[in-house]
Amino acid sequence: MKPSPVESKTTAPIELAEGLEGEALVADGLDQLNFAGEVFDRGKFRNGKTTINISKPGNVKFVTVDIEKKEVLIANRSFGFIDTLRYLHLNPGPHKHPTWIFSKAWGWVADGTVYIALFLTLSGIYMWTVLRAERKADILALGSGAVAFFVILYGLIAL
Amino acid sequence: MKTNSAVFEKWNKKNHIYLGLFLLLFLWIFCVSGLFLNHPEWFHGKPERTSVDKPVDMLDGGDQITKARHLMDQLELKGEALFQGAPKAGVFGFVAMRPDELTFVNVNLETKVAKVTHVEGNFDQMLRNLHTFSGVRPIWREKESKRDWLPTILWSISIDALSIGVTFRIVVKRS
Repeated sequence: MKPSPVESKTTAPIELAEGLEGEALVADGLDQLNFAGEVFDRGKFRNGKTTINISKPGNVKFVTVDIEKKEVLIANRSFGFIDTLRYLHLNPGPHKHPTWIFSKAWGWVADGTVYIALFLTLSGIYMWTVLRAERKADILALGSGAVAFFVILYGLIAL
Repeated sequence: MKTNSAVFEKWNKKNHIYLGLFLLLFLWIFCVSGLFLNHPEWFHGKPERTSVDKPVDMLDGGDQITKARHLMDQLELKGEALFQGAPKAGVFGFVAMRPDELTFVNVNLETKVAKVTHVEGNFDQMLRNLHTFSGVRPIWREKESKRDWLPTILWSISIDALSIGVTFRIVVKRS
């Protein structure tokens, strides 16, 4: 069974320059707190507060900045191995352009894996066409795979 | 007499070719759709959305899926019935999902009129949905998350087979 995330809350003082808002506030706040990760917030205030979500594989921090009290509430949530794998599988993903260098690097790794897989399969097919042994059984494997693929796809989008 | 390792080597070589050829198209679609998911900026197509109101007959008994299936038959909808979050008072709502289209159905339980909103996706959205569509969506906080459409069951089995096949091929190297 998947373990529940471990949660903790702490507060810390923060010094923010007058009138600082938006991405500049987020960047300044994170610098002071020495936090790094993928940031999901634009620093828009509502009732004198804004919550910044900072995500890393296996960890999410919700930092609520209270401008009047000059204080931040840090809710820290740590996840187990399965959730960390899940995060790595889903990110960067289509919903947000990565801004953290390690998220970007992970996106490049994902792209690279796809290009390598395509290259290996295409070169494998080329090798297979040159290799003449057991052609019947191979075509049967390829054909049955293709039939399974198109039958399911037909069911999914055309039925 | 052949040794065990020679027998395994021969079996492993054959298995490499047969398994690779069988799973080839599945692997390609996940590769290409993975790229599409990672680069949403490559495509800018917006889905087409149309809404229509239709009178429907609601089942009195049965679970959520049975009710949804009954409505889908009347509305001639095909796909996986998904439920988003907690039900709203006075409304029976669900989504009939297929990789190429989404249909939001919201039935006013008093008037027995269904608002049917059809969202027709384009090619890149269909590819992305094929990558992520397993028939269950934990992100939608379904109360009973289970697959109820045969093509989705087969597709999710294919995804599992591909994952197991690829992992097996990586772990057991070709001799």
